Amino acid sequence: MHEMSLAQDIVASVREHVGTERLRSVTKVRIEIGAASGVVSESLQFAFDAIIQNSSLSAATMESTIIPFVVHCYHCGKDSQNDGGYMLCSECDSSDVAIVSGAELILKQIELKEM
Amino acid sequence: MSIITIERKVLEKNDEVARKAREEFAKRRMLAINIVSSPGSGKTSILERMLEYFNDAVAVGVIEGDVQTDLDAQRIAKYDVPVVQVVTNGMCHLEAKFVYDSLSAFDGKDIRLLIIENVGNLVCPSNYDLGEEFKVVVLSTTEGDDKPLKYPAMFRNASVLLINKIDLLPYVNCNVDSMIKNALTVNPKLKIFQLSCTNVQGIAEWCGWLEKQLI
Repeated sequence: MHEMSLAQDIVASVREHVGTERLRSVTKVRIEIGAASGVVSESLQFAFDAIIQNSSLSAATMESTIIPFVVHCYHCGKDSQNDGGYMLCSECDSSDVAIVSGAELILKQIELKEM
Repeated sequence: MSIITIERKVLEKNDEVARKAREEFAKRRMLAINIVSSPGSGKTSILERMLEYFNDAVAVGVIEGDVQTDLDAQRIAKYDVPVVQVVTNGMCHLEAKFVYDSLSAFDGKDIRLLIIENVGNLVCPSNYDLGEEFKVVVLSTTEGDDKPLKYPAMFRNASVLLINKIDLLPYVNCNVDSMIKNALTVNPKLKIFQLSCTNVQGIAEWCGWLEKQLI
């Protein structure tokens, strides 16, 4: 359940970027969750909601998008999706691959209503 | 309506501290490894066998991460090596700041190998860079051979797999060949050692390899 720590980091980042006086106008916090990041979207949502309750951010909702795990293959040169989160090219089975996306948790955007 | 675009890793702050820790390890010519596994796989027992193997030959420092108690640090202190116990008070993983803040305990001791024993958890610690050179994941035969496929992030982010408790193979329902095949499916670059802390099988091979990685 490291989602609670991660949600705290997200809330701290939002505070940092928006500033205390504009926190109440935050309507949405958009994040991207890598499919192979080990982060459970529902747990993160639960933790985020619990943290912002009765705070100046309480009007905000978290919107998360799952980013597929994609690796680039140095053998065949193709990018392919691997739903298991394995370091294998789905095109040619080579293990000579690097992660392109889907292993990270990104704070993408913050949406505010005009005051 | 206005939109602020950020595009920042949520763990960026942790990663920054991990970078500082990594610089400090390099400056001190210290190889740092981060041992991760589920609870009860034998991380502390392996650590004890490693300390017996290295004895006076390699100066080792230890950071012990646990949710509660300093029982592990007490076990390690018997080997007369500098040890820092980090109690996370409920947190399921170590973060880079715990490691960075512990480093002063090793000042002036010329430690060559820093072993960080993470909190027992096969999910959460995989996300947190502690500044280590590489992660070592421990999986014991009693846990079953399918775990790499079920917890891929930890095996993907590790460089070494220690298969522990191989002396129990005759008594448990675990196929070690399948375990290795599953681990290599997730991460074909894993270096794998098979160990027993009871009869010390494999300990010399693992420690000998590790000694060659020292800076």
